[in-house]
Amino acid sequence: MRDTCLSNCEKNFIQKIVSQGHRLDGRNFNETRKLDISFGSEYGCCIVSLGETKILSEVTCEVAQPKQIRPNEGIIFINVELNPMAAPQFEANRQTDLTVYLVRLLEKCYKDSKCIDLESLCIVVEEKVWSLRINIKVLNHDGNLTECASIATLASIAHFRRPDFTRDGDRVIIHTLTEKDPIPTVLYHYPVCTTFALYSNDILLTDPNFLEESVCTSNTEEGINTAGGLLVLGMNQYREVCLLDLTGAAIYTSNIVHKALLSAADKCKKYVEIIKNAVAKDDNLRQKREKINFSDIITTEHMLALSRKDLNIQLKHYDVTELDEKDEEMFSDEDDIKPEPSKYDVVATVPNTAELKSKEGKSEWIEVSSDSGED
Amino acid sequence: MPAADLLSSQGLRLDGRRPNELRRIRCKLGVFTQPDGSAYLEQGNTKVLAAVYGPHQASKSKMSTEAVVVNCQYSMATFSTGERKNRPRGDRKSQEMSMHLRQALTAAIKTEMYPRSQIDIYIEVLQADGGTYCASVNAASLALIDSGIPLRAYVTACSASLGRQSATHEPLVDVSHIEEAADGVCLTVASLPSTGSIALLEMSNRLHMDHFNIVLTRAMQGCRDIEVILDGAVRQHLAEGWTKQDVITI
Repeated sequence: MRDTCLSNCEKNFIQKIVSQGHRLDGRNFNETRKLDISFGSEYGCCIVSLGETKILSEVTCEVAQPKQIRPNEGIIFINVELNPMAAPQFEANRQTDLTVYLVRLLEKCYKDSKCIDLESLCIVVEEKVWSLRINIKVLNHDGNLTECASIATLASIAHFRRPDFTRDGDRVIIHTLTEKDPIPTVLYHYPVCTTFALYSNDILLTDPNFLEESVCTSNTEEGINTAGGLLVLGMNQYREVCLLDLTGAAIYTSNIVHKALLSAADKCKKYVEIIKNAVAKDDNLRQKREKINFSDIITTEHMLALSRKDLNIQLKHYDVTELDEKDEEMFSDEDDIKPEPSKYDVVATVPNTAELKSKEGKSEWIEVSSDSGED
Repeated sequence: MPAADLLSSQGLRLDGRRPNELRRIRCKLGVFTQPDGSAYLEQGNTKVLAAVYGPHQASKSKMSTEAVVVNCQYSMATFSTGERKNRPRGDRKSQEMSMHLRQALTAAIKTEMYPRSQIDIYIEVLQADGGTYCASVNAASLALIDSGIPLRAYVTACSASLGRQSATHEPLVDVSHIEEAADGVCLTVASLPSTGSIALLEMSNRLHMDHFNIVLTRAMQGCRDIEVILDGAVRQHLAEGWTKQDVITI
């Protein structure tokens, strides 16, 4: 399916409200969406969701021959898959520019920065090494794929454990998971990527969603001066920059990069903490022999499961408790009709927002009368 | 992390340069007859050829009604690297290079002047000794000038790294292959030096954010110096008055 074009109305509107200091979903310029990491039953498998963007990452290993120039180091492959499940404009099995972009960013962040100890993956020098394959599958595209993919990669690498092996003279015996405990991967440092959307007048938006990202990467008729760009920064918790990539239009000064660096350093540190805590928590649960799988993300009690929040546009000055006098007059006219008890509650969960929340319980069939004789 | 062996105790780099010296740049415009514009550029031991075709009619799928479509293809000759390269184009690194080239050159070309058209830029690396992206951008810039396509400004690219000499950190300009392979950080900047704007910023390997500023400043300065060199070459070429095309038609 062809990409739906971004209309000029949407583009102009977003550029205008960003220059006035607002964002469509009510966040601040440096606020990120909700991050959720959940692990599967296999080691090295996890789903990360950043707002509505969901990415599945899986690490598998197999024994392979090492490269001739590096005979004592393991091999890492990174593969990204974008299929139409994520967004209708993606085509199945086709390597587009976006795929190459994501793969190269992840390779630079995790392979070139040497965060994984490759020598620990060696079995027999020049003959056998472990080859790790990281498969990233985008489940839903709502902007900021790079950040979500990097968190997913890091979480799955930190979670992954490879089988233990012993050498017996010339033979190498690889033990199954039941014989010997598997070994976690050795990580020297934990790099994570963050994305910033650059708008004119030196405005940096953290964690852009799909619409904000499309505005930044679209072309404008006036030329490059007013168009925006995307800045991807990969940093680890020691404030070292592992990856820097600026796409989009030309920027005038480098001050915006410095601003972004400061903001990214704090964010990346927080992400690394979150990932480490999640892996440790999962480890605890596994030690207690609790069964862990993805069904924990889907709960059977609640009606709204793995679904999107209904409101993705938030009005900054709306208060659900204020009622106009006019509305009260209208209510008195309807006194003779008895309203049935509502199945929904109007709740102010987040400030300045009203949300419809269903009362907890199983889904029920609603009786619909078939009396409507109108055509 | 700055590697200690990138800078010796006398302040010389691995190939004998000083930290703020660029490699020698030699270039020639108008080396081919078929393309609308062409250039050959040497930066140290890195040798790059660039050819520009356009603007011509765009293929229907790629056409844009607002601006010209810039199409870049980056190809490395099989004999260009130390080990024979089996796939000259189409592998991931080449595709990424093509995307980056397109980004830098689109920032320089006045794209709004040729809607519904396409400009093709072909880069062939004959010998790769580090800084192939920078040399490609510089060669493409010359080829665009040779083809007569209107540009906003020269677009030049330069890379910079960080070396350590006793206690001080010294940025190194124009990174060669041997410095790249020694695990030094490599920050590549493609900019339009006369306007001061940055078209592309790319970095691999680790660099502490406190040192980022000096490395970026050195790379920007390198871009400005390269622009002066390229400008001199263009003026000399015009003064001589000939391109291969002119020789055939006269």
